[in-house]
Amino acid sequence: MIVIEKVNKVYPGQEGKVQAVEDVSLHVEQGDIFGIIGSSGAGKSTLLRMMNRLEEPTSGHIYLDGSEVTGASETELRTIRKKTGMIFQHFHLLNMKTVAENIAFPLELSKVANKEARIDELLKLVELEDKRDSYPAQLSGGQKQRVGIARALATNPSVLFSDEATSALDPKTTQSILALLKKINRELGVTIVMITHQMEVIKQLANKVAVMDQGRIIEEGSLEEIFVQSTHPVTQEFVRQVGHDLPDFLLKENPKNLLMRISYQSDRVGQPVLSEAIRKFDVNANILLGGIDNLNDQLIGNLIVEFSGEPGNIHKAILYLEARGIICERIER
Amino acid sequence: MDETIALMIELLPQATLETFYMVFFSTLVAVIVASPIGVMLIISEEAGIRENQTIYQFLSTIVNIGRSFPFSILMVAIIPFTRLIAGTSLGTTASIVPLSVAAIPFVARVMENSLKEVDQGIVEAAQAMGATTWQIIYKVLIPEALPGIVDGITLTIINLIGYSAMAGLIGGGGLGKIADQYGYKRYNTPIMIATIILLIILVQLIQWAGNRLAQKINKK
Repeated sequence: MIVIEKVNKVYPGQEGKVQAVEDVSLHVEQGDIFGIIGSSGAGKSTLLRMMNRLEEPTSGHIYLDGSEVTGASETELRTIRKKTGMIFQHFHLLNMKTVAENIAFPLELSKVANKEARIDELLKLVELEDKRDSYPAQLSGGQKQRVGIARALATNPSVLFSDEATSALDPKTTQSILALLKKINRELGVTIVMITHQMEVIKQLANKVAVMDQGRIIEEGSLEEIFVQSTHPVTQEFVRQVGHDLPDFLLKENPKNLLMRISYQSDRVGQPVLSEAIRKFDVNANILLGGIDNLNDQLIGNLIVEFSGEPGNIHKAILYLEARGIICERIER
Repeated sequence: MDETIALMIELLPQATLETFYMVFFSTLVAVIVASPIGVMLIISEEAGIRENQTIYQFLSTIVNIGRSFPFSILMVAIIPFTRLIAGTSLGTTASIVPLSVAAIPFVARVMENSLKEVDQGIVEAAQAMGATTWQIIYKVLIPEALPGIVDGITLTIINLIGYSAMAGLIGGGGLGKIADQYGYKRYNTPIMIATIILLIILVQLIQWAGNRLAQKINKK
């Protein structure tokens, strides 16, 4: 479990101070896959790197499994760090060492006996048994990240920090790495804190999400909440990247009809609420765009619907939908 | 002509061995003394893992002063020090002292530059794993920089061959002494040419061996 309390990071800049992270508080529960999304410069990387103090917080407190990371002595900090793993966008493997030697590195640091058996186990977990004696230069990006993951997990950490782990990979490789991370979370119970600028990654992996902008957390919640109920424009922009957005020409057609964005969470998918509303209030609903999205194995409906008919009836239909937990949002045109 | 060849056979093998002896031990001493300095430079520099501007500036200034001396002047200037260490300032063994002193600042910079080439991200990954500063130095920085270090040492050896020839002018041994005493002072051109050819072959061989070794250990 990770608790972050009112953490700030201020860099002394040449043209005045730069506040990279501002007053951030977060709770990451054991077993979470906690995604932090933001554009570059939003402060997400600084925030992540403060969790194992690769970056010193200017103020605030950070606790990891009950021990305080902030304020720990160098020796204490090393002990804490050995209980965490970290993977990176550019892998950061030791170039002069083989795959097996890279995985052995944290084991050496922790003076683990019987390294070979553990290396075999980890190679099996990341499906690289045949690359044991290869050097990083001989591996593809996806294979390098698998070595990075095996290395990060070598000492059985309770938490894995992921710093844009899939950002340098192609879409297909990204999928396989995400699947591996999900397997690690489910089977080994490792908590994952990941930062990314890719909403697609959040959508597939995270169960909780925090959105960062200009050093602050602007919105936070479960994946479903962020996808369905977000109110901040920055969050909505991220959601739209993987969602369904109406092209301009459709907005201009039939300007008299009411356009609504209709979102509903997993418990409503599979219920014919929309068709009930149509029949009951005698209105027409034309689905222009949308679909059911798979959010980390939770289904989310997201439709853009054009209503036509008697305005009073449309209003009643929408009230009917809202009463059944469906979020209706008028789209201005 | 036969006389000259006889003289070559008498002098050159011995002189070559002396050159080897001087260069080998002065390189060894320089690497042993300069490596910690190079490491201290890299870890104390700005954003290094043990940043300390005072130490960095101090070491850097000393290294720069050392590198500013032309070897011929340095060699004469430190004669008292050479006497203190070697008991004399003349001869092959004594010339190891100025050669080492000249090579130390050079090797320190060579180490610093090779270590600087190591991706900062790899160092950070090791820190995130809970490595100590010492573990980062000998398990990450030095192994990762090794091909560059080998290249740098090759460069040092070749520089020292040149310097050792200069040391020959003021009482050192080796090929430099032969080139000076027989070739230059006694107008024995064939011997001078022979020593120069030997020096060229030596430099070529060492460069070739150094490149091969660096290539072999580089897995990047």
